[in-house]
Amino acid sequence: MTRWLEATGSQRGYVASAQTMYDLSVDWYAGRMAEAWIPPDATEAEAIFGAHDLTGEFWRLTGG
Amino acid sequence: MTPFERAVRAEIYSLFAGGTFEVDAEQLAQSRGWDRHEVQESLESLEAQHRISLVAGTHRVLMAHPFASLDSGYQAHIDTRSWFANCAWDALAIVALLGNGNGRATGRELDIDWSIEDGRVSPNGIVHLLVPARQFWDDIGFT
Repeated sequence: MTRWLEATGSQRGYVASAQTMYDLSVDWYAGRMAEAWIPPDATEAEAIFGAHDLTGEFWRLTGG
Repeated sequence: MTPFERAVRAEIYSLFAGGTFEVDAEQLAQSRGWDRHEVQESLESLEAQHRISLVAGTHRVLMAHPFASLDSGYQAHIDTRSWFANCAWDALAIVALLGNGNGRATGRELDIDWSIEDGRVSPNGIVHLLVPARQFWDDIGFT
């Protein structure tokens, strides 16, 4: 990852395990295929992130 | 979303899940007998709502997360079928969405090859997200 950041001139963002992102996906994409799917609002989305320990400024959607 | 937009969104997802990678207004209209102009308007509205992303200047779907219409190097594999994904997260997400806990997520550029069995990812690699969540849609292609 360090080499990729250097090669692309990017700053380090958030690093999560693949397992965490898979587990998040199970919740994040639940019901997505259905016509009746209702997208989560910012508060609900933050709660989904938080349920997978994805918290802090990087994952914040609410507030100013 | 209006009821029609919901139907269009669901049809987009159904087509991607079924293995169709080129989804545009014409195809959507024909597949369901809808008016093409109404479909075009719905696609534009869905993009404005960040439900999908269109190829610039067209009514062709570029992204309907976690699905991608183009080969970015990331793919999800379930049984003998494969799907384009926009990134490593999306590759995992397609398996989560369609694979019932089983599949593979691969990334060509970074030699990613993760197996998912009964919901367990191995090897348990890392996913690096460059863009904070509240900026995801500032430039979804970059994200």
